[in-house]
Amino acid sequence: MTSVARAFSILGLALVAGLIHSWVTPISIAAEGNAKAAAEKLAESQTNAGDANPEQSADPNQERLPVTDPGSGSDDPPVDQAPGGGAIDPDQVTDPTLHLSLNQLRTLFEQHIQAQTGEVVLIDARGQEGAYEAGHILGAEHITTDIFWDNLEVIYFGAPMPAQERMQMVAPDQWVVIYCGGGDCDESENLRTLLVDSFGLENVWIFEAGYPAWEEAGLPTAEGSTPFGQ
Amino acid sequence: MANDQSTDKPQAKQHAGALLSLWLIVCRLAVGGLLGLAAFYKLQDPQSFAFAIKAYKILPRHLVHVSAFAIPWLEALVAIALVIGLWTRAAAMLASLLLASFLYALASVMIRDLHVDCSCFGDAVVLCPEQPGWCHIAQDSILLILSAMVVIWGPGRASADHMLASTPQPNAQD
Repeated sequence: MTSVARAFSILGLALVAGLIHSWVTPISIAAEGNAKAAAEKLAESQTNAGDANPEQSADPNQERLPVTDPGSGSDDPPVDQAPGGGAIDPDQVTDPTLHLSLNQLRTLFEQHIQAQTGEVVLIDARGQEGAYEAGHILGAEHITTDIFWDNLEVIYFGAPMPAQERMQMVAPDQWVVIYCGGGDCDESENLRTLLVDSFGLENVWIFEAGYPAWEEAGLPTAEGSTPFGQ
Repeated sequence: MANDQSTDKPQAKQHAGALLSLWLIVCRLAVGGLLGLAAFYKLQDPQSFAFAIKAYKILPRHLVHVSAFAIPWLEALVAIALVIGLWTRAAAMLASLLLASFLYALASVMIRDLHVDCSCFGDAVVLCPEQPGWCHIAQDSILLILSAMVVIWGPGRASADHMLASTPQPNAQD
């Protein structure tokens, strides 16, 4: 038997072994596969926690993100204004995948995030080590699917808090905008799936151009491990 | 004098042959050992490896699923064949093919500036950092050269192939 024929034999053997292995250990490679698995894991832990502590599953509206506005003055938009401040009307958005452009995010940012109205939650979903600390959009919280996956804590107003608890503070109709490193970014899509599936959030948007576009446009950024820097 | 020269030549040839065999063992163990280690880590968590392949954004989805299982098993079989020296040339050809594909994938993510983990050894970090970079390119290039040497020169004397070839065949008289 020639070496080429032997090489094909080894290749065939590897395929058969792989086939058997995939039958024994099924995997998921759907775009939201990781998020789905994390959501299931989270749902399990929520059920367990709910059994032990029924108060935890109270109406999430009662635990809305507190409006912390240390110094934005009277120019703030009214708190009862619809999230998005009229910048985006979901009914008029033709993109069913809920993607935001740079200008749309800039408007939201100026009206809500920079003003710290608490109406819009901006999330940096980049999982790459040190990327968030090196620079992120001003006011963006660092929350990734891995944080839920590994049951880690996030920093919320300077204090560590389980990621699950942080997301339970977000009301279902509250606006959440996720971004990552730009381009065809799975990290944002995966996190959105997790937030929609596991926390029942309805307005989860993705800023597809990501941090590079924001930085290039010279818009406000922050460094360090907290949303507003340091 | 003429006799001495004629005995020197075969001796020198033998000496060079022994050195080459020794070098080929080093090549086989280096390539086989590292591929075996990579297979060992990848086979422990095919789900993570599937996500890693997907993150490279090279293969279509249906091939990601196949590759997540086939690549580690191929690495494992090639590693075993290289280490024991059975079907060595064929195994070295496949190792070269695997390493060339890895080099292409690494260069591709570096050019596209994708932030992915190498996942060369599953979740473990061996020799090079997690992020694909020149270290991985150098590592795979060296291994590719070593496996190409095995393809060219064969398994060497200390191999199952050599032992099988030197065993008298029962049907040789026919």
